[in-house]
Amino acid sequence: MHHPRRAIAALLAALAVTVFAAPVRAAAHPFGDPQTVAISLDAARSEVVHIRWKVGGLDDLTLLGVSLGLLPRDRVMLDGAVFFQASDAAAIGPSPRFAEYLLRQVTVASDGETCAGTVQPPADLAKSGVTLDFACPAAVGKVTIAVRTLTDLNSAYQTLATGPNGERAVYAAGKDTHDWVLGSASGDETKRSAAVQLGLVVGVSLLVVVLLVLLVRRKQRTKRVTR
Amino acid sequence: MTAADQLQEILRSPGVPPLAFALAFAAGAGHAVTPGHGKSLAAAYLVGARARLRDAAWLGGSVAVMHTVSVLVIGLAWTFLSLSDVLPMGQLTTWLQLVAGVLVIGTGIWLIRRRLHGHRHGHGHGHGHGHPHDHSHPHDHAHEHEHEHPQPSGKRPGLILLGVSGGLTPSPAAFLVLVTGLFLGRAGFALLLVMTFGLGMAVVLFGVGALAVAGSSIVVRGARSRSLLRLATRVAPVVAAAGITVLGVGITVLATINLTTVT
Repeated sequence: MHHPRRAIAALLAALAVTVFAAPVRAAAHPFGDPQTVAISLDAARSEVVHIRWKVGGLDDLTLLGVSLGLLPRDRVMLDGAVFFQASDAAAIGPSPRFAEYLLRQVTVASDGETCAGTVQPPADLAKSGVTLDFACPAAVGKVTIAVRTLTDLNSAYQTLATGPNGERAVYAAGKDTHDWVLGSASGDETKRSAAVQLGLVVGVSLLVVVLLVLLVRRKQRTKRVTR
Repeated sequence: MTAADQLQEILRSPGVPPLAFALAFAAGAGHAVTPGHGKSLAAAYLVGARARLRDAAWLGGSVAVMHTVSVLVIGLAWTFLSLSDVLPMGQLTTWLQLVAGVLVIGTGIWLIRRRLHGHRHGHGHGHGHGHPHDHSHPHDHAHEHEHEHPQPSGKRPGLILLGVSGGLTPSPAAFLVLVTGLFLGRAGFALLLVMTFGLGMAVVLFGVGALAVAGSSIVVRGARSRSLLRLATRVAPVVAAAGITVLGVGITVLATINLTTVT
């Protein structure tokens, strides 16, 4: 059972993989946050809804800039890689075309009537996003908010939305509207339910692990006794 | 559509579809197959430490556990503590990579030191420095008594450190699944999917480890008769330990470069 050639080959292969493969590791997790919207009711005027939109990965912002014609096409590499530059946000932020895009993709309706939107000039688009103000005809209670940002570029994008009182929703292609209750306060239901669910899963899996360990121990003990 | 995308869809469908777990497992396995993720590190360590199949299982297991924990912690912080306002995710993961790199360097140096130490004082447990015959007998001996002494050669701390460093940086797909689950109010289901994802990763890493163990045992067996292989057997652990250190330095340097360019 001697296979010197195979053994040497295995050794060399292991070493080659060891030396050359791992530095790629750092590039294997280039993940950014998903895009988010934070929805809130204006503190003073109960007919105004604020929506703060924030891009997830900064390269998504560059991609949007290219699709809006605000950035040159060569910012997207042939292999699809996109590189964000600090100047990108500055080029996109003040553009009317960007504001138009946002108002087209994000809409608010209260009592079946569309609310008029305006885009606040973003101070730091890359870091803190951009705020849209929607003025509805009357004081709002329940509003229907649609978010379709970036899904027109790629349907895999989704938006994670937070509202007042810890209310949460996920927007995705095909599921781009959600009803929000912005009026009176209710409890932070999501947080509590998440805690209960996560606690349950963690508890049960710990229990399973403990049982497995006990089982294995017992098996080993009986093996030792019989030996 | 990738398995990870499909998971997002399934997360929205009512009930707990069993298909989801198969998908999560496949997505995790697929993720571990992509370059990096400590497969080469695992192989190097297992060859270097003359590990057994059980050690490969420990390695895979610690990656799965650490990956789940890191996804859970970051996902919760992102969702409920507005982590994204404090620190961009890209930066956080790069910091985690830096920590992972430092852990790997530490493991590599520890492994080298163990060898050199064993050499200088002529300890029997410094694998590979004595005559190959001397080496293989204590090893087999330890194998027989493994039930009484679960840590016969002190390999496990290093293995678990490597596993931890491999699972420290969460995969984007798993992170998104958990965060989406939290937002949809299906936190428990999402966590189960992330655990299954980690299991898929663990199985692939275990497979790689098992191959490495098989490969190195062929080398050891061959070494009894061939002088060239005997040399290889003696040199391999040291080279593997040095390789791990070099890789750790590589990961750390890359993370540092990313940190300085991202910020």
